[in-house]
Amino acid sequence: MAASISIVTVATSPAASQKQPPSSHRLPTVSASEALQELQTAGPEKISTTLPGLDAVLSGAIAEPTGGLERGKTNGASPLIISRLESALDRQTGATNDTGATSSNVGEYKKHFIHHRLPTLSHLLALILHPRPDFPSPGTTLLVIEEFHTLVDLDYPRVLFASSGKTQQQKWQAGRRYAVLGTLIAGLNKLAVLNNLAIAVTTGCASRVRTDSGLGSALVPGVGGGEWEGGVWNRLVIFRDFGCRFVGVQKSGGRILISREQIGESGKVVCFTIDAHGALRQKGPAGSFAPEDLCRKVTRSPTKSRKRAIDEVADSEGEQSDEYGWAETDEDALTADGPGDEVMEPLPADTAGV
Amino acid sequence: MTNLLSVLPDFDIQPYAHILPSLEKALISTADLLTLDALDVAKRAHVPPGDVRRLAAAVLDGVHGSTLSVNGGGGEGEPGEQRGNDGSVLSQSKAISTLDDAFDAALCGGIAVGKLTELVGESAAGKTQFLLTLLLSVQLSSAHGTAKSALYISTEAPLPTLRLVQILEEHPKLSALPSDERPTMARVQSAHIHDLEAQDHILRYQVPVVIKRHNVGLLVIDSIAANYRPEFDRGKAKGSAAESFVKRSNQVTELGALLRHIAEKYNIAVVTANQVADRFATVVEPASQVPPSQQHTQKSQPTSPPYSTTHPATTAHGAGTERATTSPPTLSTDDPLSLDHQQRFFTGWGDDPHITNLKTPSLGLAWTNQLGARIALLKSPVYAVKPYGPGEEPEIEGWERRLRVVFGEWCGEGRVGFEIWRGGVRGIREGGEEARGS
Repeated sequence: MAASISIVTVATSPAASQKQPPSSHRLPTVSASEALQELQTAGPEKISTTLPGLDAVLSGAIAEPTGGLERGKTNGASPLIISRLESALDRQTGATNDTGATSSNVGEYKKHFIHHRLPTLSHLLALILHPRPDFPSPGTTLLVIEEFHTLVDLDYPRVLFASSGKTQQQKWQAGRRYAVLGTLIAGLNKLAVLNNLAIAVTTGCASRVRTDSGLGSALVPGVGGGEWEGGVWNRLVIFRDFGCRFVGVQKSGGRILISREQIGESGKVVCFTIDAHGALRQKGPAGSFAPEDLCRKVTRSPTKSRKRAIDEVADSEGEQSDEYGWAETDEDALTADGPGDEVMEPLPADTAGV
Repeated sequence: MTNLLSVLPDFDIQPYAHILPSLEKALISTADLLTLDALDVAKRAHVPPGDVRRLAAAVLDGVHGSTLSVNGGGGEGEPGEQRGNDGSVLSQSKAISTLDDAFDAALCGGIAVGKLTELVGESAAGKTQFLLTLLLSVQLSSAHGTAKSALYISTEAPLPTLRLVQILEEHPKLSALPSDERPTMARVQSAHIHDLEAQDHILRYQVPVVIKRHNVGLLVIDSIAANYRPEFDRGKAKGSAAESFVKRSNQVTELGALLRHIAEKYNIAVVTANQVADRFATVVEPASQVPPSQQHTQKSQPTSPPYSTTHPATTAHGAGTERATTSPPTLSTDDPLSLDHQQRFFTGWGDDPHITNLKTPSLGLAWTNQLGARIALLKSPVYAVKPYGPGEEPEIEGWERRLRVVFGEWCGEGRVGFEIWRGGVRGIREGGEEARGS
């Protein structure tokens, strides 16, 4: 039994590209000129995040602060969210027609929100991998999946990889989490491309011990794995500090902006606050910063090793895990270095041979 | 299939009864069935592929049928999506008032229905007092004339009935109601849970029955962490400490999901009380402002604030977190995503540099991720102002209590001072009268 997560799909005016009727038995052909025209008149290709600095980092160019779709998240008050933005299409912004909501238009805008309740991971998989013909409804430009990690953790909880006494079945099951994530990310990408959508997935964080640098645990995305991280187009981490909230861009345009060795890096950051109505407002200059420019120089007290190994606070070097982290699972499972670096075996071959 | 009936409770398994045991043995779950090809599943479990295909199709149909989709514009029964556009306060049917205006303002109407809320604080911080008020308040929100009940599940001390009666008699809003509208003790059900296994069984199977039978509108669990602590002692022989922690995190995740499911399915509010443990923050000091000798002494205090007060660019912080608009926002540390640093912002203790006694709610990050809202009750001592002799401990005159909404799905953050009195808890207005002690 699980609590449901929400998927919200948002439609703008029906300027999106046409979809083929699913029950057509003919092979539909489109002439090249028609296809080109469709491309040019398609709906907004990029959805602004209302934070100009963030738009600039995500698109790599200075974006105009157009009044884009409001992205105040329903969980905006919770300080721990990592959100990933997969914009499958990255062309220049067309005219966006969702400006800031005036009170008379609010009713109109509400109609554009469709809310799906998904109690389990199986529901999500069915929705994405085997979609019904009416999903997503025509004109949808944004699909938001919230609190994704809760679904995944329920069906495939993290297991300590190195525990002994596993049967072959159990070993196979332990690897299923990452395999299913891989299938899902491929399905999401496909959905985004076919339907000209942007997909945003929000997840919470888990923590991981950083034994090499001697620092304490750091927050990492709650859903990981080589295939998932390779399939995500942009990744944003939202966190807080005294005075202001920050969005760090860890991956943009398919390129990873943070160093792979260091866990808990935040990438370029943009500062923002959430005002009383839930709208986001950027603070500080309009650009984005690398974190080194922002923070004051701090000296760190020299890291001390623990004087005594305590059983329940498994923090010593030998035991590689603590109350919050599962170092072994993640380090063993994250075998892939990233897209193109290592060829992952295709799924059917993997399972059929075992 | 290991979780078929929890995904689709109404699924008819008769036609597939012959292949289900083999699928279970091969540890195939519903999600696997939907992502893998039928041939691979059949090979793993040694069952005919045709049957697997039929099962997968049936599961897919069932799952599509049970996904609820609602258009956001139609109907008023959607508490979720309209939040971003208008900062509206929750209406009566969707929130349980705390019977105090200051608290309700901080919570944008009260404790939201359909969500999991946590109330965390040290012992004697006022959690139980707060919960008792909620037990009475939920009875006031009645739909269609049937009054709602409350279910109080205790894990430590049983329900303090005498105190509940006292609150019922002394609270101004409750005693002002006509007698037929007043809450009664008869509509407060209580139960006691002794250990973890009983907790799981009771929450999963018996609580839904009670909810339906008594029209329960509020489920209180006081406290949620108590049954976890004895289970993971050092004395456990088998399994390393790491394994038991992983197991506990998974259990906590399942518990959170179960409670949220109960809240959503039966449209009730679920409030859990939680305990705290002490926390020592790592010391990070700004360079070049603090002379090395002072640095040295500061290191020995594990909970000193992260930046020195001699730093000239620091504007006065006080209790607020807004910096002066002229100075650009800066990160206070070069390791912003470390757990220690971020814990200051989601535990309720630590983002005010004047509080040195940091606490962490029990059950960790896995539990925090499950919550819809966290309310922290902070308590700090007020020392008597009088001349002390050398070596004398300052005398504690009273306690200053604050309620903080740390995060919430339906409300922003806020804080209210409060006090405990005969009629329960009540908020203290800023700069208003403060009755110390009682």
